[in-house]
Amino acid sequence: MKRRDFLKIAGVSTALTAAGCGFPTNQKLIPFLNPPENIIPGIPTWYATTCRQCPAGCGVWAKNREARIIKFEGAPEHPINRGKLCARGQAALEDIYHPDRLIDPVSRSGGESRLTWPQARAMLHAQAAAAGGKVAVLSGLETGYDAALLNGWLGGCGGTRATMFEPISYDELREANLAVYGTDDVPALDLSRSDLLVSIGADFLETWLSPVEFSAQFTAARERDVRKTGFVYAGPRMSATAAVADRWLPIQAGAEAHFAFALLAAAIDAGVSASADDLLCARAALGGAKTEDLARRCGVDEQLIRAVARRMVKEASQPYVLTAGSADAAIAANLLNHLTGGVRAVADFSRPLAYSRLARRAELEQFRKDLESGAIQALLVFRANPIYAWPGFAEAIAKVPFLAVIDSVETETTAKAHLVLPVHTPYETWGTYEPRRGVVGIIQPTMGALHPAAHLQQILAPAGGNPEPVEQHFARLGGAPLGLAGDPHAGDFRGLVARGFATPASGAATAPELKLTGYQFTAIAPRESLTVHGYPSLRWYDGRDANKNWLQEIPDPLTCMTWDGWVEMHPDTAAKLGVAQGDVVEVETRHGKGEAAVFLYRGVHPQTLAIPMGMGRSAGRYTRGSGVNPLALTRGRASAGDAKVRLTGRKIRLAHTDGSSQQFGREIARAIYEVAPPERPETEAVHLKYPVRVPIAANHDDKVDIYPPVEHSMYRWGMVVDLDKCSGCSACAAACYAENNVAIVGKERVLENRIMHWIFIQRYFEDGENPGVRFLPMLCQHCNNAPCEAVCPVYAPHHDSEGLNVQIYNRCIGTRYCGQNCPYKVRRFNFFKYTRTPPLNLQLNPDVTAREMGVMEKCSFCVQRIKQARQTANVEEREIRDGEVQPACVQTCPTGALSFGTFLDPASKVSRLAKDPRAYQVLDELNTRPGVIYLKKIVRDDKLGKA
Amino acid sequence: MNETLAPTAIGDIPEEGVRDFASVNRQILGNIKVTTRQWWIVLGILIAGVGMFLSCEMNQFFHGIGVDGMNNPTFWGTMLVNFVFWVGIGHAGTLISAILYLFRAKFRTAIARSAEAMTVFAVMTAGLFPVIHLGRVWVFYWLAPYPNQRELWPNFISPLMFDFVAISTYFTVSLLFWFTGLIPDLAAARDHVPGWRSKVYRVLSLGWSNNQRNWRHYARSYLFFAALATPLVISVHSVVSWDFALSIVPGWHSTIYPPYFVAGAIHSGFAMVLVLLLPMRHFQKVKNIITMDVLEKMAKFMIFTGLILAYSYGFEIFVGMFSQNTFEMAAFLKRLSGFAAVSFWTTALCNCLAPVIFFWKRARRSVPWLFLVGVLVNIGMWYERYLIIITQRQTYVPFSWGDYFPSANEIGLTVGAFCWFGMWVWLFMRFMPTISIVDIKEEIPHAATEAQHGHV
Amino acid sequence: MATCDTPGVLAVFPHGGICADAVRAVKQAGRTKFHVYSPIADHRVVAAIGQKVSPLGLITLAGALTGFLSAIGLTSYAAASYKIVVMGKPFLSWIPWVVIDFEFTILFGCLSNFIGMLALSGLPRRRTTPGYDPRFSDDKYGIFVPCEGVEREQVMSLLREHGAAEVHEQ
Repeated sequence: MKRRDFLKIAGVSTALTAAGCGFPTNQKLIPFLNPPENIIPGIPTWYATTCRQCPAGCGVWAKNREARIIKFEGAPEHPINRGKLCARGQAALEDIYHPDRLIDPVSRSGGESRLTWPQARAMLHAQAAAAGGKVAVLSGLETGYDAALLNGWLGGCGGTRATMFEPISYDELREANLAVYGTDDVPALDLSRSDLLVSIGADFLETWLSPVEFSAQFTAARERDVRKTGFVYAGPRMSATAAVADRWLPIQAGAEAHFAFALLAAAIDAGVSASADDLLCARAALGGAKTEDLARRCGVDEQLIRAVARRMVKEASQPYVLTAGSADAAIAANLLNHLTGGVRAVADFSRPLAYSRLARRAELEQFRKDLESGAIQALLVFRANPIYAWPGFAEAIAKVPFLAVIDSVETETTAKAHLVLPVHTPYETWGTYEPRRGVVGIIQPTMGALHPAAHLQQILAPAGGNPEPVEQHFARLGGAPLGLAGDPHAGDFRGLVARGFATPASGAATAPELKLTGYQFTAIAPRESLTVHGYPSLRWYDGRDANKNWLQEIPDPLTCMTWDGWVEMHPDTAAKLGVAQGDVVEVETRHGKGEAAVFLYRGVHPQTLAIPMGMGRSAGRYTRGSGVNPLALTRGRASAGDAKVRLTGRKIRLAHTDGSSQQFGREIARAIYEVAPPERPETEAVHLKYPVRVPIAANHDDKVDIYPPVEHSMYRWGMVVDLDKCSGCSACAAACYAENNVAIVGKERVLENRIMHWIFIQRYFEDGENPGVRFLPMLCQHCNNAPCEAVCPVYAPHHDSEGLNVQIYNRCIGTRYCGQNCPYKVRRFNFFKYTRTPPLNLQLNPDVTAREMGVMEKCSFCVQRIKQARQTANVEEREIRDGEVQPACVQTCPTGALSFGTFLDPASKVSRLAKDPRAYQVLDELNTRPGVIYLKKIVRDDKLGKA
Repeated sequence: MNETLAPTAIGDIPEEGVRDFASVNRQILGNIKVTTRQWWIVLGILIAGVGMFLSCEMNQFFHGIGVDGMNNPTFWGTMLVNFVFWVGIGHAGTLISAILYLFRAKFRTAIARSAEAMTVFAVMTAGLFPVIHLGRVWVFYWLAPYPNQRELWPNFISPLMFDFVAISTYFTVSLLFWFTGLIPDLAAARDHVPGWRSKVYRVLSLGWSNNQRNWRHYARSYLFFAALATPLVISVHSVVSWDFALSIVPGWHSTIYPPYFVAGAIHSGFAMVLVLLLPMRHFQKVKNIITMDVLEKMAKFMIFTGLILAYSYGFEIFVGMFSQNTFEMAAFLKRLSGFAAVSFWTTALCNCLAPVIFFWKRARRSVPWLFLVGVLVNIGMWYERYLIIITQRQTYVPFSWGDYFPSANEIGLTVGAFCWFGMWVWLFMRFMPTISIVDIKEEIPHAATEAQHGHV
Repeated sequence: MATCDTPGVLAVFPHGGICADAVRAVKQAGRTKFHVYSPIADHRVVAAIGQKVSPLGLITLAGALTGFLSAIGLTSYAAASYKIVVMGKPFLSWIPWVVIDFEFTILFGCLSNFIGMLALSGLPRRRTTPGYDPRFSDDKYGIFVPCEGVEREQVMSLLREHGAAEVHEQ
């Protein structure tokens, strides 16, 4: 396969395709005489690469149609994500097609001016040389190819300081590991092996370390033994992770350590069986602190903590405690995991995560000082945004004469740079990334470059002359330097590239030794004041993903917020302060202050102000001028105390998508209880007497069905949604936006209830329950007796022979009666003509019509994929296999809550799942016979007693 | 050739009733006279209103239906409100001209003509809304069952299809009915109105000659029209009600809708007739023909329809509660107290309480009271439809609940529609016999005519 | 305006009673061809003329039936041309079609009624029938007897002695 040719032609034809949309051109979209390699119009080509949206490093397959990537999907074989992808991974596409992409090199030394590449490279090298060895490189977490290139260049200029910086660095974990185990590595975890998880502020289903991997492991743990596997979450905020826990224990931000040590003390009291030395060590760390006063300090009922400890010690065989944001808490957790033996089962220090390569906090502080003191004269920043994410950096960098930034999208840092060097996104270039020892993800170009940016290797190549083409250089480097060596298939380079990752052998797991000495936890008095708590956002991570209109419009699962930054405040606290929803307040800590609108959220500790990371930006067309950057308020830590709140008197309308957070006993999202359910209004009784009826002719029931049964031809497509698995992560929604060209409407339209999402997470709060959150992915139910169909005067919606409720956009005249009559309210109307800012329009999926103004649209079960599968099946003269068709949402669901298939085949997965006693259909009393079957959430017995 | 008649002269008008045939002609045709300056000014204002309607329509035509307040839970807005409202207005006309004709209710003769005209104009107004509320107006004709290459036909089980057929039928029928009644009067106008307009009336009167052949078929035709229009008028608003009742939206899905829509339609229709006739009666000086007795009878009729509505509202709520169905109960509780309460109580007070004043004879016979109640009932009936529309805001799935407020564009369309209707009424009152000459003549006892010319 | 080239005699009567007598007399005189004009359908005149009831009813009925049948035809054909399943209903779901059938019945009935009425009474026509006088749309009754030459005198006298206020020759 001549990849160079392909890249050339792909590049050209992409450029032309781009030109085709809007710019005058007289050239062909695709040259059909001698067509380019790998491009058959209408047939997608898949390229394996690695997702670089966060350090977790999931493997992705990029779907290339006519030389454009139109979709990312998890690489099925990849050891980390096993074919799944989170919302941010799905939205990685938008980095490539982002309107804010940097195009040409820009120099800001003496007025802003565009440069040609030779000029830019000349300037970079000249300035680096001028710095005379006082050169440094600051980059995001990079390993393998890019790290090698950067180090190579740095060495070339006589510099030594290659520093890697991540806003979310888990430095506390590393500090604790260093203290307790003598290594500052972050171990790889296998949560599926634990039977009792206690998370202290670690949102491992959203952002913590490797969320997609952990989602699968967590599901596996629960599936292994639905009853026994427990999960208790203690933290300042009820995150999506906390929402799926058996119990959420609210603790004030900053008091995590007190909780952890209280738990440790309680565990010891409960008589945890461990070696005398270990116990001694733990007691030393406790320094005689008692469970009860530690409990009092973190504001959690002592009995609850003891109950958790009892569960860990007595019932669970391999409990594991996860923490975030506090080194002390992490130490306590390590001790607990060590005493209970959980660490040996779950953690694997022989396979440290890439985080272990990051600069420690002290080093970063030193780095900052050097910037200020002038010990660094020239700084090259690569794919990092320190000016936004590193409080104090901006002041320091002002003292540095030369700042060059290599990035692909405009950020706060590029805005301040003396020299901006546009680089291709990771999906247009070559590279490797090693998320953890033993897994090396390979990064290859998945499409021709969209913009005349350069490859890192070209930028850093010695000045003058034409740098060697990147693919050549990469291939030549090959094996060892990139860490591919040791993989069984290391020889077959092309094979590795096609596979997308290498698995070099790593050392055998070793049980870590307890090495904690001279540490004693010093408990501080509980804070009375408010504490600011900045948490990594499910949608925006540390902010790098905030400037994407998909991730702005897809609602946050718990607040249902779109398009804004906000401050979460407990309703009681708000009442005390006289603050109302939407009031813009100024939050001030000793580190800084900022303004944001208040969102009243019952899922936050009364003394905590929770702020999602990612907003409060000065750059980015989708982020600019909204919300506040929590890192600036906490100086990069997880929380900061003594916060003051002042009303500004301004008020803004918050675009949250939930019409009501209660279901008023309507039992839309149902649950079964291991414990006695709380009292409910008896009106709900009406809904609960209907057995689930899978919508096939065989289940016809003369008592309730007036009309003769409708026979389906070969398949009756349907979906099963397991509410017990759904963590509300919204990856399904993101995948749907990508696959089905769903329009982005913007804040104003969302406020007008005109959001277009086809699948969305309904979130209901249940009084008298803890956590008391129900997630319900809602999409078109493809009913047998679809109310939308009969009322349309022109047959635009009707039933097809395979049970799909199809919508013919061309026939629709926009009476909107179907939407009116849909009890599930899943139909979306194009009230306006929604367009996409170029070049975002290049991402459109050519298999799906972009809907015009004035027509109704809705979930189609990705009918284009069904058609695709049928073609393959027909060619191979067989029926479509179970699981062969996967709608975008099902394909990506990290917890595997969604499954798709045909109900006509009794052996299919959906048919089997539909027999589950938890199965029900939403609004079944209407007898619409939905094709989407839900499995009730299990409200588990947390075995902690009431408190 | 005959100087015995001075066509445009108005004879002195007696207090009650009319003396003879000639005075009827003089009085009624007398109103078809040269237009005044004030008349033109009013017409100008009304046409300006129609212009506003057009500009609002253009606005949503080009920018999308989103310029109106409709949104995801509330897919239908004030445009459907106006549609139902105007169709309802129309019903009084047909009721008066057809049903009361079959029942030989004498008081109809004085008001039938203008009521029928009102029907035609009201349906002309109503017909606009289902079309312009479409997301893609430019393909509205896909509703029509016309043969085409792809053999694509409309879905005849859709309530909207019922609507389409019913409304077009209703418009055709009431137009023909109205015109048939007009023919002899147009002939009279042809004979007795001077100048160029005489020629217009000649064309319109189709050469009607008042001879026995004309009369023979005319009488039968009118009877059959009445016979056919009677079931039609009942059916049309039932069909309109099925737009709502055939859906599964809680608060809509109810068998009481057809009867109570029809009652409501007649209620609002009578109110509108009052609002239009009282000024006309004054300015056209026909107090002797549209007598207080006529108005009093209408007032009584409105008590009747008002009470039917009161019963319907009450019963609707009772059934909702009786069903013990969460969604039904919620829908109606929110009417009693909730987001829909304002609309509901406005509706109830204006439609049910206001007409009760007519139990009091003085009110029945006082023009200000009649007019006031007429206006109130019109407001009430508009709000009733608005109430029905906003029921969608909160249906089955709480997560998808939402708000709805009419946008400026919608208000423009609503006001513009009133102007459009007013424009036609205004033209009608100037250029057409506003009272049926023939019918009035038939009311006059033979003695009255024969008294003047003794037998030879 | 009412002058027309058909020769004849026009008598004008002050009211329906006299007119009716005159009509009877004219008929007794054995005349069948004549026009009677009246401002309203005066039942006395009608009785005097003694015509059969108009056949309009049959025409209307025929129209109504046509409408009914065509509606059934249209709905069934439309449904049959694409067998589309909506809301799990059988594609020949005739119950809701009753509405369509009903409306078509009324529509066609009314149209045929109107057209039939015009056709039977010879409308539309450019000019009014012979002997028409504007006063007939006001308060006068009239009889026009087409006749020529010697007949004229006797007709005129006949009409005069039956109370004609004026008698014109045309």
